[in-house]
Amino acid sequence: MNRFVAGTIILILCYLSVCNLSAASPEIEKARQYGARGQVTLRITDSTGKPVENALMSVAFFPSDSYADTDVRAGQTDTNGCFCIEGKTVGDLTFSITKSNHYATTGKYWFYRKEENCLLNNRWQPWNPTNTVVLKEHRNPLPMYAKNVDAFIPTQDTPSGFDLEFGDWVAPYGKGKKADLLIIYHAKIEDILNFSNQLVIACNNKLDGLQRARKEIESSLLSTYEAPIDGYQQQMVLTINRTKHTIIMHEEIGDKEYLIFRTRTVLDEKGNIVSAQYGKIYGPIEYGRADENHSAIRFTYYFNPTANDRNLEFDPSRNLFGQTDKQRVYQP
Amino acid sequence: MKTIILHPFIARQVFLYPLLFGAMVGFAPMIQAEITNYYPFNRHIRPVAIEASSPLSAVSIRRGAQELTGIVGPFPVITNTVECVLQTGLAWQQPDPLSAWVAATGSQTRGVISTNQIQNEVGWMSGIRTNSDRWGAFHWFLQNRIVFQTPTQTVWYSPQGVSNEIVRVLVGSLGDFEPGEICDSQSPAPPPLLPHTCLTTQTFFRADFNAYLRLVETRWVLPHVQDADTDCIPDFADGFNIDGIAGNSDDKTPGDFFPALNILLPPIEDPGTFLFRIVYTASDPLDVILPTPGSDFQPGPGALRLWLKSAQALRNGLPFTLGGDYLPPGTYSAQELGLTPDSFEWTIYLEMIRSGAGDSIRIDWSTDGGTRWRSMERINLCMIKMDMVPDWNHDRTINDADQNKATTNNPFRFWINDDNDVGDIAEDDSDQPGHWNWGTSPADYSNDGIDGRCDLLDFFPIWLDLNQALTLLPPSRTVQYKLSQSNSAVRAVYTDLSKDQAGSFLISAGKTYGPLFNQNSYEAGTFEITRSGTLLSNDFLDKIRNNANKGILLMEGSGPTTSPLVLEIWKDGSVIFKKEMPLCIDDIEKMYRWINLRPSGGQPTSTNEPVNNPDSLSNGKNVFFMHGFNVTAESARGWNAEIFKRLYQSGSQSRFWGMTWEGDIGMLNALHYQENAANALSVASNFNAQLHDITGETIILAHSLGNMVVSGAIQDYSLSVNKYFMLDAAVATESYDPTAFNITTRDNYMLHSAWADYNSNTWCSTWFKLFSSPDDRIKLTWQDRFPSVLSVAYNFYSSGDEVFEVYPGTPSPFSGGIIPFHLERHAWQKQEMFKGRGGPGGTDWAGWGFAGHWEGDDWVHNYTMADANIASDDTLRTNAVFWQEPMTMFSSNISAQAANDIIARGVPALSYAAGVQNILLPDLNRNYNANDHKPNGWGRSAAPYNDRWLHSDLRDMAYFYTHDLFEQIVTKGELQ
Repeated sequence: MNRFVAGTIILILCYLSVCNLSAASPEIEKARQYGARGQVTLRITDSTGKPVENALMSVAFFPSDSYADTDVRAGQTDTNGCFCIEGKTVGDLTFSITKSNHYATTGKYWFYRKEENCLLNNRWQPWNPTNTVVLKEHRNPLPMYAKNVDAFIPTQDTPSGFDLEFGDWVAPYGKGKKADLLIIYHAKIEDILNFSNQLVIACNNKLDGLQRARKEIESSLLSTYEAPIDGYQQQMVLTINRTKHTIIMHEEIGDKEYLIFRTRTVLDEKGNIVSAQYGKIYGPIEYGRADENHSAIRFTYYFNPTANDRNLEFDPSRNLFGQTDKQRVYQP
Repeated sequence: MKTIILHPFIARQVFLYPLLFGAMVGFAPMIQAEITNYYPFNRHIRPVAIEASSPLSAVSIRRGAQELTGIVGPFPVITNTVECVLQTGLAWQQPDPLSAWVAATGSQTRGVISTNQIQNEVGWMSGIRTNSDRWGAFHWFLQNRIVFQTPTQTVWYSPQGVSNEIVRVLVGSLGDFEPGEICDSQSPAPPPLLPHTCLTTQTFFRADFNAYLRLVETRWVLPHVQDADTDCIPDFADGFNIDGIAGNSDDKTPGDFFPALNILLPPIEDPGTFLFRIVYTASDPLDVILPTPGSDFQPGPGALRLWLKSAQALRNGLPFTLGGDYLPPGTYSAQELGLTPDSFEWTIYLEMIRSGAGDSIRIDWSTDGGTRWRSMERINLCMIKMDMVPDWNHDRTINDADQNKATTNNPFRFWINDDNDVGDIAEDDSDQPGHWNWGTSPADYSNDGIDGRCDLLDFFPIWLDLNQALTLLPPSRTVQYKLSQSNSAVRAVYTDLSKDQAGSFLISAGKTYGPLFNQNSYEAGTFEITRSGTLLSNDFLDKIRNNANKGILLMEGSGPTTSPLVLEIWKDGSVIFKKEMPLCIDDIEKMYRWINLRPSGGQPTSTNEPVNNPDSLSNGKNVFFMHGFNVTAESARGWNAEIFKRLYQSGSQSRFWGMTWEGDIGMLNALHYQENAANALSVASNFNAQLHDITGETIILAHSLGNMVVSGAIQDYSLSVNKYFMLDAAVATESYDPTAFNITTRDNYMLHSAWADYNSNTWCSTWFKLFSSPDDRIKLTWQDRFPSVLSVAYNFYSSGDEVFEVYPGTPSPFSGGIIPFHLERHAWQKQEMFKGRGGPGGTDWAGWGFAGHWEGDDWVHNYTMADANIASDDTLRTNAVFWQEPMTMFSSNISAQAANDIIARGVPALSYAAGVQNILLPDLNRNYNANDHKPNGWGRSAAPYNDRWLHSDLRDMAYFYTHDLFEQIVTKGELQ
C-alpha cells in the first residue's frame, strides 16, 4: 500500500472518529443532512392485487429535516396503478392516497437504509424501484353495533358480563342480557408508581374466544376484512405490574393492536360450530382506577349482528346504536 | 232579591215647555230638549261599530279587537213583574208653598196603570204656583217597577267557541249585578222637595233594561325589568326613590310606561260605605333589595304592583294610605280612593314584576260593609314572553339556567372578534388579538361572513324567545321585529338551531346557517346589527313561530360596547314592545389576568380583576396557562387568547391567567433549545413566587417546554397545585417515570450511534449512578427529576406529534434554514442527541461528546472503546469517557442552578418526550392521547403530516376538531 493510500485511509478513519454522525459513509451522511435525489414508483393495488387507477396521490419529499422545506406533490395513478415521483430528500418520503370507495392510506418510503450502500452519485439507490402499496377497497361495509365504551367496571376481582349487542353490562349492573365478554379487574395500588393492575377479558361459551392482531395502521381500515376461522383463545390477560423503578410485567393491547372476537358460539353434538358472532375491539384497551371508589375500562368495539358473518368491515354511517356526538364511532 | 231605590243623582235636568197647570206669567221660558236621560244612572252602553272590509283581513280583525271593551250584549233581563205606577196630586188655597207641596204629594192618588209594560217616559211633572197669597201645587209622577233577574249564565261563549267567565252584569241604567241576581227596581225615585218658590219642573227618564255582560279581561304584559332611562337602575326599582335620597337617578323614570287599567265603576251611591276589595299577588316596591358588590337589584317577592300614578310621574313607594302612590291589596272605601258618585271610571296602573301562579287582579265591591261582595273586575295577566337569552354559562345549551342572568349591572360579556382566523388551521399571527379592520390581515369582524372553522370560536349564541309574541303579532307590513345596538358593535348569523343545541355550531357540522339556512356554519354570512335597528327576516321569524325552541342567532363582537342589544316589536311605525339584553363587548385581554415572567419586554403583569370578566362570574378556581418554547412576548398574546377562548367555549368558568416567560432566548433561539430548557428551570422560582399569594384552587396547563417551568416549580419550590395538565410536554418521560430511562444498546433511539458499542456505564446520562448522596453529582440526571409531579398531573400527549417524532436511529444534525429557523423533524430527539456534539442546535457540554485531546492535528479520544468498556467505576468517576465540560460538573458540590444548567445542556435524556407517549399509571384518566380523539375527523389530511395531531394543534387546529381535548380538561379540572 503506498503512502498516499495509507494516508488517505488514516484521514478517513480520523474523519470518521471525529465525525458527528454514524460510521456510514460521508456521502450518505451528507445526503441525510442535505438531501439527495430519489425516485420511486408507487404502485397502488387494492387488497386483491388489482391495480387502482386514478387514485389521488399526495407525496412529500424532505430536502432537509426542516418542515418549511417540505416539497409536496400531488397527482394520480395511471392505468397500471402506478405513480412515479422524483425529488430531493434526506432519506424518506411520506405519502397519502385516497380514492372514492377505498380506504385512505398513508405511508412512508425509505430511500436511506442503514448500513447499506444506498447512495450513488448523490442519488438514492436503487433508482426508481417499484414499491407496492395496498389501497384497501370498500368491499361490503356493514351496519354494526359500534361503541366507544367508557364505563365503570361494576365489580373488582369478580367477573362482570358485557353485552356487546346491547352495549351495556348485564344485569344486575346494566340492561345487557348476554355476557359476550367477561371482564375481571384486579388491582393492588400502593401509590402512583407502585401498583399492579390486571384486566382479564374472557369469553363465555365454549369456542368463544379472542385473538390478537396488529393494526394495519397505514390504512383507515385498521383491521382485516374478515375474522379468521381459527386461532381464538378463551381469554386474554392484560397486566401492568410495576414499581417505581421496575416494570415487572406489562402486557397490553396498545394502539397498534386490536382483538378479534368470536362470541355466542353454538355447537352441534359433534362440537362443530353451528352459529357464532364476530367482531373486533380496537386497541388501546385502557383500564384502571377511575376514582376512589371505582375502576373503569375504555375500549372501542364493533359487533357484527349477523350470525356466522365474519365480516369486520364497518360502515360508520350505519351504526346500529345511532349516532351522538359523544358516542360517534367514525373509524371503520 | 234586592230592592233598589235609585236616586236620579245624575239625571240630567231639562227644562221643558210650560205645562198646562198654573198660570205662566212672566216666567222664564222653558227650553225644549230631547228626552235623553237614562235613570237612575246616566250610563249609555252602546255597541261598538267596527268597519268590516270584505274579505276581513288580519289587520282589520286586530284593529277591531283593540276596540273591544270586554263587554258583550245586549241581552234581555228576565222580567218577573213589570208594572207602572202613577201618582198624581193637586192642592190649592194653601197658605204657603210647603203646605201646597205637602198637600199635593200627600193626598195624591196612586195606582198601577199598566202591567207587563215598561213605560219609556217616566218621571214627574210638578209645580208650585201662587196667586193673591194663596198657594197651589200639582204633582204627576210616573214610576216603573220591575222585578227582574239578570242573565243567569256565568260563562259566555263566543261564536268561535272561546269561553270567558262573566264578572258582572251591567243592566243599562239600573246598575251592576251578579249573574242570576233577582232585583226589585222602582224607578225613578220620587222627586225631591221643591224649593219654596214658584217653579215648575218636568223631568222624564228613559230606562235601559238591557243587560250587558262584563267579561274577565286578559291582558298581555311584559315584565318590568328593563331600564327605560338607562340609569343602571332596573325599572322595577326606579321612579319611587327607593334609596330615600332625593334628587338622584331612582326618583324618576322618564320614558317608562305602565299599562293603564280603566275600571268601569258600578254606581257609587255613598262613597263612605261603598267598599272596594282589591286582591292580587303584590310585590311591595319597598321590598326591593338594593345592590351589593356581586349582586344586582332584586325585586321583593310577589308578581305585580298597582299604582295610582303613571310610570313617568314622581311616585312614592309607600301605600297610598300612608301618603304614597302604591295601591296594595286590601279593602278600601271609595272615599279613601278619592272616588265620588260622579265617578264612572277609575284608572290605575299596572306594573308586572314577574310571572307567578295565577297572576290576576280581582276587584270586588260591597255596599253593606263587607257582608256581601260582588265582583267588579277580574283581569287575568299573561306575561308576553319576549326575551333574548344568551348562553350565560356557555355550556352550549340555552335553558332555565341562562334566563334572567343578564342584567344592567351584570351584562353578558364577550370579546371582540379582532383576530384574523382563516380556514381550519391558524397561521402565523392569525390568533393575535388586536387586528385592525383594514390591511392585509384584517380583523374577522370586518368581513361579512364567518372566516372558516377557526373563526367559529369567536361567536356566541343568543336565543330569541319570540314564539308567543309572533303568534299574537305575526310580522306583516305594519308589524316588524327589529334588533338594534346603539354602537353597531355586534354582527349576527341566522341559524336553524334550537336552543338546546345552541352551541352545537362549535362542534357539529351543519348546513343550516345564513339567511337562507343553506350555508355551512364556517362560511355563513354575517349581518350588522345597526343603531337604528335591523329588520329580522320573515324566514327566521317563521321558524320561531313554528317552533318555540328555534330562534338562535350567532353573534360576534365587532367593537367595544356597554350598550344593550335591543329587540323591538314595531307596529304601525311605533315601538309597542321592547326587550333589552345588557351586553358588554371588549378586548379579549380584558377578560383575564396576565403574569409576565420575563426579565424585560412583554405586557406587564396584571393581577387585578379583569375589567370585562369580574370574579363574581367565576367559580373561584384559577387556571393558568404556560406557553412553550420559542414563543415571543407578542406571540404569547395569541396563545393565551386562544387557550382562554377554547376553555371558555368548553364551559370553563374559572379565572384565567395568561402567562409569558422567556422561552425564546438567543438571537436564533430555535438553536438554543437547551439554553431555554435551563432557563425554564430557573424561571420556575419566579413562577412559584407569583402564585404564592393567589387564593383558590390552582389548575395549571402547560404546553411543550412550559412544562419544564411548571414541573420545576412543583418539584424544586413546592408549588401547591390542585391539578396540572401537561400538554405536549417537552420533558423526558424518565423525569416522571424512572422506568422510561432506557440503557439498552439495541434499538435505543436515544442512544447516539457513536456510543452504540460502549457500555452504558460510560455514558454521560448514566454517570450519576457512580455517586451517592451527599455528592451532588447524583443529581445530574433526568431520571426521576420530577417525582412530585405525577400525583397531580394529567399527561395530554399526541402520538402524532411531529416535534417529538423519533427517528429510528441517530438523526442527522439540524440542517434546516438558519435564518429564519424553521421547525425540524425529530427536533426534540436531535437536541438531546447533539448535546456534547456541537454544531447548530447542539451543545458543547458533556453529552454524547467524547473526552479527548489534540495530538498534533488529530483529535484523539482519551479512551478507546475497549479501554472504556473495562474501566472501573472509580476511574470513570474521575476521568469520564464523555466530553469533560463544564468543569462545574466534576465537583461533588454543585449548586441547584448549576445542576439545572448541566442537565439541560449537557445530560442527554434516555427516553422520549412525555408529549408523545403515555406514562404507566394506575389511573385510567391520567393519560390522554389527543391523536386518538378526533370526533370530527381532522382539518388536515395531505402529506407530510396527513391527519396527525401535531405539536401545536391544540391551538392551531380549529376548535371544531380539537374540542374533545378541551372538554376533557374542563371536566377533569372541574373548571366549569
